[in-house]
Amino acid sequence: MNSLLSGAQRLLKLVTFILILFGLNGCSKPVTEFHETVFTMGTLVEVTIIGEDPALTEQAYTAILDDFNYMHNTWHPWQRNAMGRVNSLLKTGAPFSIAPSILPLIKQSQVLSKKSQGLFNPAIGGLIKLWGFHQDNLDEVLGPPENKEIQSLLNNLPSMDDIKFKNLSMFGTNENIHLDFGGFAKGMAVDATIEHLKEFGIKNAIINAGGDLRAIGQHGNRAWRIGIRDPRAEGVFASVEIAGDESVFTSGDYERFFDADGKRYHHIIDPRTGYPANQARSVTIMHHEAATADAAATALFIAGPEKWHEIALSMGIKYVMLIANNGDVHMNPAMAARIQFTQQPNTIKLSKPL
Amino acid sequence: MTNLISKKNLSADFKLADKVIFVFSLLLVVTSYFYFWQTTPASYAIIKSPQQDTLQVNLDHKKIYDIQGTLGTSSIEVTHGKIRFTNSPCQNKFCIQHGWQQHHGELTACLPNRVSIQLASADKTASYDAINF
Repeated sequence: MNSLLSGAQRLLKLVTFILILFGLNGCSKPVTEFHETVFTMGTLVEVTIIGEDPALTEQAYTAILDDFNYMHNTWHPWQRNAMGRVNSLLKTGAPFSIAPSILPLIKQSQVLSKKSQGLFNPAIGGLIKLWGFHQDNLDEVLGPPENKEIQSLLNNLPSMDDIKFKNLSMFGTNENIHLDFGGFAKGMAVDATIEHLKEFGIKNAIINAGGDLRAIGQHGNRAWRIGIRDPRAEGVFASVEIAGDESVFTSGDYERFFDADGKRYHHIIDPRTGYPANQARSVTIMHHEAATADAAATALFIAGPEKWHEIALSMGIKYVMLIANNGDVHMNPAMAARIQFTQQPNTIKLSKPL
Repeated sequence: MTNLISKKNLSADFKLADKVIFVFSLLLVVTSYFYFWQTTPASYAIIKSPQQDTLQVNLDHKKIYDIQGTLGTSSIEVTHGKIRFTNSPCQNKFCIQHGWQQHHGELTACLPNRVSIQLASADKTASYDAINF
């Protein structure tokens, strides 16, 4: 005999089932957490590793500290090191043997510079130095450079196309070229150290270098939760969840700057004008690779509200949030679907899909 | 033989069950919002400097800490759940401009002086694993 259960009996079973689910969640094993911060690469780096054997975690952490120190010492654009040697020789125009430690930076940035229509241009180290942003700290910057000095550099502006390769040699074709990979080196370093953690078998980790990060895996049985700081106020104004392997990078006008004569000058120089880009407050990019996210954040910040979408398409970026000077938030639909605002912006402009 | 339930009785039970499920679901949504999306206030901060031992300070009191860094002394104020730099020997004072920090996961530092402040919460369900800026 078939009997249909009453509605109340079905409800009782449903409620019991849900309560059991919550109860089982409480029985999950607590995850081990490793969390350390260290000053390296000219910034504060935060390393989080979840759910691994403590001895393995310590070993992996020590290894990536060595990685960071090596990369900082090798890639710093204004020290006597491999990068310094490359910069000196590029200016001469004479061929020299390819520096293996610098080659990946050059090759990847040549590709990204082309895709960004030159807005990401690490070859303008001379312009960066003119503004004083080549220093690790800005204590000695007195003010903006003379316009005629800026125009002189713009008249023969170097680009990544001014580095050529022939067999096992490389040479420069512009005497003004000076490579300053700035934040891009940070992205490359984050990628390298994440890959090194994976080689140790680490599955769930975040490397956060001065606020720009890449996360792999997840936090126990939930996704990583990343807060995004408000570019103009204290605290977090938005957040996003990451699970798998993804980077979150932001370029902003508040990161490195100096004040002179009542005006603020920040470090993201527009290679087209020779002056700090002035179309945005910040750009946040999400992408698998940290180095690409880093370059894209710079390029789209310079591109501003009118051109960011075009450059993002060209660079293969799928998640963008740009905050314009007037506070308007510009996003593509995919980013809008992932961002959760803790403080709702006055105006959000949704672009076409990327 | 199949028991036939009158259309009237089935309708009455279904309505009651619907109401209960609706209320329960609403409670679930509201609880989930507070569980997952509200920012978690920090309960303590870890202050680091290479020149001295790491300090873990409770944010639920009022005090000014003078921390020795590589350039000199950074002053850090703690008051009622918040913490901030109030003075530092660097020239640009970015650390002071960051203002009050009060949420789990927030991180601020005086880079030239090598003094950092990391906020954390004893609550293991705290909202952010990292802050992007």
